[in-house]
Amino acid sequence: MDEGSSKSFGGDWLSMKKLLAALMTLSLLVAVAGCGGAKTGSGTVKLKIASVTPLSGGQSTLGSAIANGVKLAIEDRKADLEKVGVALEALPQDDLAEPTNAPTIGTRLVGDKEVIGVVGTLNSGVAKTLAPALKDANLVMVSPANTAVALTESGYAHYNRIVARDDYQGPAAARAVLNTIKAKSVMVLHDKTEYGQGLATEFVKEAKKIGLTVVNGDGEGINPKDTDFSAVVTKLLNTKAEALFYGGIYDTAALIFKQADERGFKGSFVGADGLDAQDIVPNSGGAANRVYYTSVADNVYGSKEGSEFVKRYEAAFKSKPATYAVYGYDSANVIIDAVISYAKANPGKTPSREEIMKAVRATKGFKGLAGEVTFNDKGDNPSAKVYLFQIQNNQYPGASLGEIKQ
Amino acid sequence: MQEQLSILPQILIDGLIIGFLYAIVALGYTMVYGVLEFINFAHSEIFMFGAFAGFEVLMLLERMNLLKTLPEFVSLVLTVLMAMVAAAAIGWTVERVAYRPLRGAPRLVPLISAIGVSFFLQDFARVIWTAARGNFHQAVPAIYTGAWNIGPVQIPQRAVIIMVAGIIMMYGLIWFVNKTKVGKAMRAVAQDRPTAGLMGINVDRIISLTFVVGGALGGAAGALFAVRYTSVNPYVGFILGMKAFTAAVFGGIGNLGGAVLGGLLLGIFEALGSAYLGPLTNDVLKGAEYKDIFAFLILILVLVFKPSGLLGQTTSEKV
Repeated sequence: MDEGSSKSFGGDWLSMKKLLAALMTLSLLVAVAGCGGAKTGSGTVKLKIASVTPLSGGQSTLGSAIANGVKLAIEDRKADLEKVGVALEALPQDDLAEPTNAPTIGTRLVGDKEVIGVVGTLNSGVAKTLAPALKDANLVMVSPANTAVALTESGYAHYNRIVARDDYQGPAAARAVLNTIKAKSVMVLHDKTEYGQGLATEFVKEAKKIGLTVVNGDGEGINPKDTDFSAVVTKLLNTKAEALFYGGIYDTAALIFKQADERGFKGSFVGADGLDAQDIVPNSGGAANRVYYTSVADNVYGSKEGSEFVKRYEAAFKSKPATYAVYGYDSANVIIDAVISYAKANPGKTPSREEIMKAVRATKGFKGLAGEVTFNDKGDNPSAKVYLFQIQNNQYPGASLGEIKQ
Repeated sequence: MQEQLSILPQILIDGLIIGFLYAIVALGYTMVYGVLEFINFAHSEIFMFGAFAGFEVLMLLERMNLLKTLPEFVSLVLTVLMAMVAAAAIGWTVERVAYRPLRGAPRLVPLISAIGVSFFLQDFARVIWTAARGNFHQAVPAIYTGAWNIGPVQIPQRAVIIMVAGIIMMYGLIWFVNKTKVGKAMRAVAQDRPTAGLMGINVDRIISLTFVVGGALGGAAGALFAVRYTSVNPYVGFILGMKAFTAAVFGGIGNLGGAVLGGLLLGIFEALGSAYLGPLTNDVLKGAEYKDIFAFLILILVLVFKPSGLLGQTTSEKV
């Protein structure tokens, strides 16, 4: 009797638990299924452009600049998009500059059906793991910053970049060191990443061709998270090199440059687009005005559109833009243009990722703030040029010393 | 070969200098471990906050135009003291918030909590300084910019400051732990926590004090770091802390002298590796890349043959 009553009182509570579990799972599934997919019901096509850059960590100045550039581009084109019935949203993702975070982010972006394009990444190492994750979904990537050569030599149809590659930038830097900066010997350091090491390798290859002496073999790697570089500086002073080239990002570069300068190194400090951030000036100490860096855009802020961009950026984000903000802006606009031309031809319809991917790859003669963009069949931008800058009077951005010809 | 040897004195000095910085930070790790058998992974971030505190003090002095008028020594002492106070406060808070509630839990749990605190503090600092100054990478106003040239060696004044401070702190700590009543209480808690409580020692208070002192050490190290490298950012603690912790283990965790010895040796090995690994292996192992591996390899070798570290005592389990 007791068993009977306890049975009916609590119910078979195991099965009650199971029922509850089943109900919850079901409702979750329904919610998830309902979430995905661009809704065309209301007439407006809702889409997202994601940005994948480091938003925290030592490189977040550059990463945030790109993400903000994307947001500003979407904001600036809002009217154009509304005219063709598209509502765009920015979806910033933080990759912490770690390649291991890319697969998770990739899966997330592929799963969110409203994401129609990705602006990213900053770091070539991260792009190397992100590109494969987005390939099968044909989710287009436009990178404002990746310079590693291998990324466009892997046969990706969905990966594009607006900047020059390391096999242009590295040799250009070498030629600048010899011809413009007029140093006859250089010590080459890099941060062991896809970007830094690739850059240093290309630099050394060209240096050997043009007769620029590299005092430390093929270049040396350092740990970019380190803070003390005394031993490396001692070696630098000992080799009497006239210049120091660092393939890497501004945060470590500033430390190395400052320490070398404090120990009495009187030569020049050279780097590439990784140095292109306002932090390079205050953190390099006395070395600042001997810092040279290559970049893909000429003096953006000198032009009328450029200075207006700076004003809009400052108003929206309460801080000055690093040059990368402009690259992020242009990359986003390349994707936005593709979306707009699709929407004009197919009003009310949601574009497939494959169609946007093809449209982006077909970009020809796009006039961005940072320069012209045309993608060749590999996804490279043959219109990309490399310019040399020098920090002068502790001012960022540096003074433009002109284009470094191929 | 001659050329390689000619830079040896400078390399050794460089190694010694960074070694002293490792040593001061290692003292903090080893002290907490000695009393609580707990590795405070957040120590590296307390060090980082000490560096930022030192930075803020120097910025304040500069703004009040005192940096030029006060003798450099006074600025230095003010900077270090304020950093010690700030870091000690943070250390105390971390213990109350993240470790005390977990007392009694299996060993791994507070350890993971410490790692969590470490990451939290890193980004917390980033958020604070981005909001306060627009950027979390900051340049510190410079003091003691001179250097002494003794023969082939150049020693920056700041480096000497670190060395002197390191020695003062080591002896100060040893005196404190061995010659004061509070120090005796700490040793009692380290030896046998429940019995110490039974003897009338306020164990909670002693544990808090341990973190306060440890924090102060980290803060002083941080301030000295800020003065030496004139650059701070929220991530300076991470690698340095890991190496200092390694140094503490290397010298014998729980042993104050061991922490200093470990720190100095690690610094020297690193510097030697960085300069000579390349030439010695015919550029197969390029120095600067492999200096970390070299230093840690030595650590592994020492631990394989003497697991308790260089000066550590092998503790036997009393059945």
